[in-house]
Amino acid sequence: MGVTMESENGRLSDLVLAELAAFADGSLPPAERARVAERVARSPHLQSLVAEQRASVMAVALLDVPTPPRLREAVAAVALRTAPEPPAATEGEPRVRRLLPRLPRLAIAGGLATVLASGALAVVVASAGAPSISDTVELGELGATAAAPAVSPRNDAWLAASVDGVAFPNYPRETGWQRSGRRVDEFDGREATTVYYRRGDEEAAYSIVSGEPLDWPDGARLAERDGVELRSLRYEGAMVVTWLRDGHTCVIASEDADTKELLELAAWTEKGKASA
Amino acid sequence: MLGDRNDQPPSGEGDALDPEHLPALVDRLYRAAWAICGSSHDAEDLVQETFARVLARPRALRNGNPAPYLMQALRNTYLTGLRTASRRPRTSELPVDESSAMQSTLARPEVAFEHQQTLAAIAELGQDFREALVAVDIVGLSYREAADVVGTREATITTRLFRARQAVAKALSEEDGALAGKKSA
Repeated sequence: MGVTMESENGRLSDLVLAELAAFADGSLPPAERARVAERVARSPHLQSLVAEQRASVMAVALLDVPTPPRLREAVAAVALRTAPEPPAATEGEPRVRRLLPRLPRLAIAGGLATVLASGALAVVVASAGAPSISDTVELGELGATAAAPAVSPRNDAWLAASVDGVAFPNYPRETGWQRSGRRVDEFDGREATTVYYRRGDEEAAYSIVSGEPLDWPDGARLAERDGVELRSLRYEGAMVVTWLRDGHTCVIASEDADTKELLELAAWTEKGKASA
Repeated sequence: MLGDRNDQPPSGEGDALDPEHLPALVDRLYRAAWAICGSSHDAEDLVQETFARVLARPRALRNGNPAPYLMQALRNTYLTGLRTASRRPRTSELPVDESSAMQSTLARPEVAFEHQQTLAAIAELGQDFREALVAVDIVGLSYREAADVVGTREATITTRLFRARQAVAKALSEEDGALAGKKSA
């Protein structure tokens, strides 16, 4: 199969093709996105080109090609042999203290002010600018500070934990993901509640931020499930998916699960389940 | 030529490559390798060889992100391998139902077939287009990172990416059409 679309795209400049590629995968900056969206909306030809781009992006994003266990084991063994010795851990040292250096953008207001909120230990922080998706991911990386929320007594598809009425999912048992803990943080006057889910040794952090939606992160990929726009990106070794539920920013991040699985976990809440 | 720079770390000061972070990237590298090679077996060999080379000694990262470094190492290892491949027999890809890599409990046979079609469509692209799509859509690099890996301008990567995606979409659409024709016949 050769690349022979020049005649079809011949009337479009390389700049336009580049914009359409970025528009289709969600990496176009918001200001340009509106302009390109308007142009696409006026042209059936551009719409078909964007549809092709998205079809390819989705086909690749959905690739489920399991890595052979022997390859994974071989790489892990080599990595283990060459990894530097970890520094000696202090017995009883809280996890939050060890992870604090991973918060480069967050200025901690008055040191680590811990408060009790909704039964969970919270960290009150102030960021240098408006809170961002990466801030939310970093808070999630701090780990659970309280037990997992209970299942909603009204609907077992949801947990009895929510932000402004947006509830956390209780993933079906067959997915393997079970609630394992939570934390509540406050930043810039907003509340970010994170529920942790575990599947064996794997962990995922699902955060919902109160208030207006956060800005979409730069360079994120756009995907669509059941009519919901999801954006995925990589952040410091973690795969991250972010989207909106009832106007609230939701973020799910994991160093263990891949993008496809996170997209599934994110989209699960949008599959017509009744709210809690 | 990039293929000759396999053992050179990226230019510029940066964090050391932490081997503990690498296993988490194996899945992406394996998918990328399969799309590049067009064969699960060759992909496995390529990833193993890439990691062995990368981990042979300490490496420095430009922006603390190991993915672009590993993509470049994968590419260089592949190009190096291409030069010697003509001197040895080629391995044919197993049919879908015989490939151990497709024996996922999650993947039904028809789904595995679709995934293999996608990988085959990518593998059929010309090298420049294939590299752009693999770097951005499979490995997850930004356009800038992909351009650095391939050694070209960002604008070139984006237009290659556009055309690569277009070709893949058309190939998959044609396959779907052919299958639908067989079913209705």
